[in-house]
Amino acid sequence: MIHKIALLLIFSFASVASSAQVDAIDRFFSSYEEDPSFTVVYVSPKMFQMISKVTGESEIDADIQDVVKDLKGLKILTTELNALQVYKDAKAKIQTSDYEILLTARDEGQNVQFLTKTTGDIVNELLLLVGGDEEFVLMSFVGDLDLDKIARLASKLNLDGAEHLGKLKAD
Amino acid sequence: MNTIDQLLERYWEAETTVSEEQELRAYFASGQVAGKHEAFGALFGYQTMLRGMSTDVSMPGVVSDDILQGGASIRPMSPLSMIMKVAAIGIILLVAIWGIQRQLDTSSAPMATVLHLDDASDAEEAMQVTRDALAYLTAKLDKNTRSISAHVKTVERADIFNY
Repeated sequence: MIHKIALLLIFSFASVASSAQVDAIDRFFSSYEEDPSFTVVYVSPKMFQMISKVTGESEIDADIQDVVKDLKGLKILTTELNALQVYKDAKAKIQTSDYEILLTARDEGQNVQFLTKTTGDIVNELLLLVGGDEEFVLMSFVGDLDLDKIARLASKLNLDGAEHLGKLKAD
Repeated sequence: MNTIDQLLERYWEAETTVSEEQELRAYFASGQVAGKHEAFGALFGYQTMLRGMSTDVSMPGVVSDDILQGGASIRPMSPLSMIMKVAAIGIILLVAIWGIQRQLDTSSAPMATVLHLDDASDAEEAMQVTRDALAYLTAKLDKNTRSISAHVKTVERADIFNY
C-alpha cells in the first residue's frame, strides 16, 4: 500500500503558512527527504485547499470529505531499509518534543505509535510511527483533526482500500 | 651611412634587413671589433673573440651552445606568435570554465518537483494519496485499539474513540 503512495509528490515547501516553525518532525523529515532509499510525500496546505474544491464534485464519500476538508498538511516518510533503526531514531527525536503519546502497540513484530500535538482541546497534528523489520512509516496529519471522525473512517476507507492494506486481517 | 652602432640599434628594434644583419656578422667575423661591441660578439658568431681570450671563459648555460656556435640568432618574439600563445591560453581557459559550468548544472538537479497547483488533475492525485494515507492510518488504529481492548478485562477502558 505504501508503494501506491510512493509517488514523489513534493509540492512547494515554502507555502506552509502559519505553522512556519521548524519543529522536530520537520527536522527529522528534512534529514531523510533527500535520501533515495526513502519515499517522501508532502501535501501542502495550499494543495488541501485545492482538494476540497475539486472533490466536492466527485463521488467521494461525504464522511471522508468531511475529514479531508479539515486537513492542512500531510507528510509521509517511508522506507524499507533499516526500518527498525530509523524507527528508533524517529522515536528518540520526536518524543522529547511537544507530542503526547496516544497509543503504543506492538503487533506481530511491528511497533506502532500514535502521537498527537494539541492546543487545548484541539488536535493540531496526528502522528503515526510504524517500525518493523520490513518497513518504517512516518505519517503526519496536520489540521483541525477530529479523532472520532477519523477513526470512524476505518470501515469506509477499508472497503475500497483493502488492497492497500497488506497486513490487515478481519477480526 | 650605417655605423655599427646604428645597425645594432636597428637590430634591437628588429628593424634590420637581411643584408644589414649580414653586415653585422661580417663586422664581428672580421676580428676587429670595437671594445664596446665585444659583448655582442657571441650573438653574431664572433668566435674569434672567444678563442682569443686568455682566461677560460666558458659560459655554459649562460649563453646557449647554438648561439656560441653562431648557429642561432636571437630575435624578439614576433607579434603573431605572441597572439597565438595568448589565444591558446584563452581557449584553454574558456573550455575549462565551460566544462566546470556543465558539471555544476547537471549535478544540481532540482530537489523538489513543484507541480502547478492550478492543475485539477494534481488535486485528484493528492486526494488519492490522502485517502490512502488515511486508510493506512485508520487501519492501524483500528487494528491496534481492538487488540488492546481485547486484552483489557477488568480495567475500565478509556474510550478514546467512540465508534
